[in-house]
This record gives sequence, C-alpha cells and structure tokens, in this order.
Amino acid sequence: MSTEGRKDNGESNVAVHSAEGFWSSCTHTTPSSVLKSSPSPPSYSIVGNEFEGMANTYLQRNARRPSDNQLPPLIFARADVETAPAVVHEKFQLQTVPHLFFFPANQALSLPARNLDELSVTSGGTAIAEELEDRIGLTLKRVPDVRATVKGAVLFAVLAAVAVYFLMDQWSWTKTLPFRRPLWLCFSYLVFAIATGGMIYCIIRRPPPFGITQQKVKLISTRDTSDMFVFEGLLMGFLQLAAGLAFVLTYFFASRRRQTLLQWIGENCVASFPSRACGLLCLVLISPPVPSPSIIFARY
Amino acid sequence: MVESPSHVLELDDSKFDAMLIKPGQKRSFPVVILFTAANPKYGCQACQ
Repeated sequence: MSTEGRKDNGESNVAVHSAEGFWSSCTHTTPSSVLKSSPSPPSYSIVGNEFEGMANTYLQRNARRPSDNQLPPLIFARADVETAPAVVHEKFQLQTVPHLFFFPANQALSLPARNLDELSVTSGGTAIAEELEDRIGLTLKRVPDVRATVKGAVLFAVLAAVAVYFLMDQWSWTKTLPFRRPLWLCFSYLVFAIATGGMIYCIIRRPPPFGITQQKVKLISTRDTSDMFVFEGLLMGFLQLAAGLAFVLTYFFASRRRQTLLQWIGENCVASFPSRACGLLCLVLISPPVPSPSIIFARY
Repeated sequence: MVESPSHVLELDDSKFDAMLIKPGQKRSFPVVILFTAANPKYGCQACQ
C-alpha cells in the first residue's frame, strides 16, 4: 500500500476552494502528481459498499419517518477517479484514494478530508461513521453480519428436524400426534421456513452493514428496500414456528371432537406447504431488479 | 445476480460543480463525498 499522501491518523490536510477563487489552494503531503491507490482492489469495494450501505440506511430511515422526526439533511455522493477526473486531479489534486470529504451547509468548503487509505480494509466503514458523527452528530452503528446467524439458524433447523424425527419414534406419547409422518412434517416446515424466511435471499445478497442510532432510537436497516425482506422473513419464519407449536399444543388440550377437526386441518394444510415454499423460493430467485431510487435526491 | 439499487449520488465533473458550486446561492444541506476508484491501479496514466 502506498504510504504517500497520508498524514497522522489518516487525516490529510487538504483545504478546498472553488475554481473561481473558491478553489484557491490545496496543500499536499506528497509532491507526486501520480494518483496512487491501494494495491488491494477489494478494499475499495468494501469502503464503497459500506458507504453505500450507510446512504441507503440513512435515506430509508428518513423515508419512513415524518418530516419532524427525520435525521438532518445530508447527501451521500461518490466521485470516481475515472468519471470525475477534473475534480479529483485538478480541484482536489488528490494523490491517493479513497478520500472522504464532508462539505457543511452554508459554509466554505474548507474542512479537512479524511484519508481512508489505511483504514479501508478493516475499518473503512467505521471511519466514515466516525466522520459523520464528528460533523453532524449522526451515529451509525454496525449491525452484526446476519449471514452467520442465518447459517446457524439453518443448521439448527436441520439438526432439530432430524432429532425430532428420531425422538418421535422413541417417545410413545408422540403416537398421539395428529400426523403419522413426522419426517415429512419436519421437512415440510423446514423448507417452508427457509423459503419464506428470506434465508436464501440473505445468503445470495449481501447483508445490511449498518443501522442508525440517534436520540436513543436504534434502527436495523438495510441496503435497499428489498433487503428488508431478510428481516421480515426471519420474523415470519419465527412466527411460523410459533404457530406450528401452538397448533400442536392446541391439539393436545382440545376435546376429542375438536382434535379430529384439527387433525383434518393439519393434514390438509401442511401437505401444501412444500409447493407453496417452492413457489416463493422461485420468486425470490427470479425477482426482477428494483429500479434505482436515486430520484430521492431531487427533494433536496 | 441483480445489483442492489444505490442511494449514492454518482458524481462526474459537471454534476460535482452543479451540486457544490452555485453562484449566488448557498447550499442548505451538507454533502459527504467519497472519492474512490472503481478500477484502482498504480500510476494513473491520465495524471502523467
């Protein structure tokens, strides 16, 4: 990784002004005119992805809140070396990327930029979050990687299904259950929970990187509105499980006549779960792209 | 796989000027900009 163009703690001393006198000078820590970057391309995508995740989280939070309970107005933007060469090379005269600049409202563009060059791989997103907290008091906290949770949940579901299958053969009281095909029942619920729980969707797509905290309001938000399916699906999966358990308990405590009715409902409804689950799974996999909501910026 | 939609405003040279430099008009909102490189490499030819 290049060590040029950096100062202590990743702060670069760049004063920015406009081209018509607004951009009067730039102070550099390296005389080189060659743009240098990290030798590790993935580090850039990580910073960019987390930056994008924060932007999506921020705007989704505001979109769901009334105007009097919204976060302070803020625009997230990205300038690439190739698409904005004049800005990067001539106005800012950057020697390294990624750099993060914050331009306050109604003020000259003179605040120092944060050079994320050293922080990009492991804490680039954290550095961006710290910058926003320092500037406008917006606290962004990283939410756990839900992929590990999903993998654990799937493993638990499989093990639980196998265990229940064998235990139902061992325990005599299970003979009174309304279903005589425990493996089919467990498999059915497992497939249905996975398909409707958003687990496949969550594994395929990246998990949400950030939540927003402000004024003791903690949110779990996602990269885009479609990713909310992950959390909604996980919640629905839990509710499915709870509903199944409630159904079985109801059967035990019901009268003999109602047990017959419950048995009929269970055998006829549960049998259709796998087909519904497969249909939902197909919908998840072939879901069309969501149009970019960048028009949201127009309101600013 | 389908790419996720982005809420990040992608700036080029003209958009950058239009958003940040408005003669006779003050910005009423802060802007945070990440300068990055989609295709990072040592020694940018355009800079030399």
